Amino acid sequence: MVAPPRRNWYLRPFAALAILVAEYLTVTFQFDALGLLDREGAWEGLGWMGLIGPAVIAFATALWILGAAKLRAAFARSVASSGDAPALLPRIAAQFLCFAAFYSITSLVFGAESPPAGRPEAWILLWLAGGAATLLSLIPIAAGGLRLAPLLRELAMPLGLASLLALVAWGAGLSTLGLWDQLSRVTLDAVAATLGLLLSPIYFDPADAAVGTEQFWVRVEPICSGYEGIGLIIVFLSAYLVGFRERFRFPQVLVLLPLAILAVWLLNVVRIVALILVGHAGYPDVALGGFHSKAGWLFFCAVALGAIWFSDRVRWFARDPDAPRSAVINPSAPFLLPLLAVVATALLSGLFVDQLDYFYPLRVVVGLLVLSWYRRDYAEGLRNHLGERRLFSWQAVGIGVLVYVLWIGISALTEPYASEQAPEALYEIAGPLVAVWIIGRVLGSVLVVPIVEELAFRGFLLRRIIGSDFDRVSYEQWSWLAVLGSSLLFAAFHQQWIGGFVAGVLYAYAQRRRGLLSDAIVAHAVTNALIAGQVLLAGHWSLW
Amino acid sequence: MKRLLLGLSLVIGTWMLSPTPEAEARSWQKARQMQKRHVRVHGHKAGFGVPELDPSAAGGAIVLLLGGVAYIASRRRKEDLA
Repeated sequence: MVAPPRRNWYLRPFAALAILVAEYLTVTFQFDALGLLDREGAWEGLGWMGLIGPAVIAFATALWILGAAKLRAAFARSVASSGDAPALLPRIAAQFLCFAAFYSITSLVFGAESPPAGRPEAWILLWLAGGAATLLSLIPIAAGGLRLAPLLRELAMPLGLASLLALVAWGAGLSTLGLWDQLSRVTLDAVAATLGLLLSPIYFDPADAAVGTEQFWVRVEPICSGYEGIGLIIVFLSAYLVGFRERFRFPQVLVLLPLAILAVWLLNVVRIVALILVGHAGYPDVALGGFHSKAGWLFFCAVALGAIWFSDRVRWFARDPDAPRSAVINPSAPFLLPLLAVVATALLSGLFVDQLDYFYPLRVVVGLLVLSWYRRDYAEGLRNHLGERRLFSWQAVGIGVLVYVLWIGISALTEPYASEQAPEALYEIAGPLVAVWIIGRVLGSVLVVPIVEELAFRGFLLRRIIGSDFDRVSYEQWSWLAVLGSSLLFAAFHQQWIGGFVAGVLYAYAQRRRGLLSDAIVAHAVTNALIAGQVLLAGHWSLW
Repeated sequence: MKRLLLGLSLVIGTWMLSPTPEAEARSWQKARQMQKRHVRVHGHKAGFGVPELDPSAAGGAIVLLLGGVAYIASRRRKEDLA
């Protein structure tokens, strides 16, 4: 008897989701609903259809929370019985045709300067039908051999509740659009009041939403009002409480949500006041450069992680508050803490710099200190996995060279006009300090970064996605979900979506070949060493 | 009920972060140019809108946040491993 090939249940739904996201981005990047809002009657109504996107996202999020277990089980059943399912290619072709038709209609309705001839109601119906066909044609791709009627019956309750939640969110979302201006007014007043306690006189023009001093002032526009942070903290904390709900006491733990919202808003006021003080002190470039881009994230991370820490330790919130430190272990610490320490140092030191990160050597020192703290764990892990084999591998070096070539090629394509000049600030610091900075930069790039990033992304994250007891998952194990997930986050971290993703996949392959994390580290170090060489020898500074 | 409440707060939060119809297509291409122009025209003597969360610094923040959550969630009691 031949065993059926093992297949993963998530491949088809994830493929359908990827197609949906790609098509959604294609349409939204190309066409505006904005222009239709200036027209009258039915065309204006169509202009508001831009709100459908967020509503769909809200519905999908709610459905996942409420029906994830049933959906997973149904897809797993479909994989088990999909031997006689129709071929995938005709389904993808049919979906592509539907999208092509929808795209054509959209370009006629949204892309033209003037509305197309004919009754607007007919065009709107045609556009809605095209959109519905595009969405519905994804179902056969996602479902495989799944029978939809029983699944819909099984999911009736989650589907109904998700629709209700999306509807409520729709109304809440519409009403919050009007709150932007009001919140920015409250934020402006709070900033002026706080600044008035620290400086006198201050410059304050409520009509222009401006606040600061005569030397340096900023405009508190709606986007600065704290609204983004509030939205993010709601999403983050809710997702955390859903994900770890068995740890908490409900409903009292929900008190954390308004507390975190208040904290995030107050810290945004502190951020704007601090930014004005930095600018007033004679460092406007720092205030508008590193400080404003990093401080918001730093405060947001502080509130989010603080709320989690708080929820785990307060008896009123947690079902099982922490045992004494001696009774708790954390196998993820040697894998995660070096990267977290380096990133936190970079965010903190980034507050005080503009063009050039003068404090880069500091994060190298911090990284080395944390790595040395766990040196016994690394030595023991390497001994256990290496056995009688050699540490060095030419194949790992080859993969590192390949990533370098791809990274350079992709960078040339995606950032063709990137500046190749060394940062001007580098010429302004004294000679010996330049040497210290460059040595620190190379040391960080070639030694510290490959180790801390590979420990976190391949050593921890990739294996954690494969199994909850990540330390029992072998480095040789391969799961596409884990490789793609860890590589996506790796790409997001580097803000190089294509290059970072490809590098992540290839480093995962390097680790899998011999089942050694050290091979991924060697490959990563080779890539970074070649990039450092190109920066220093050929002067291509945009690569750093 | 707790799932419902959490679901509600999650979808509202997602909504607040979602693009509104006022968002202009291809604005992702123009954003950097517009920001540079804004700084050049007004300089630091005049008003400057300071976005709360700058996308250019998001990568490190996301890793710090998710890594922090993963770290806290990975703590185990010794007796659970025994």
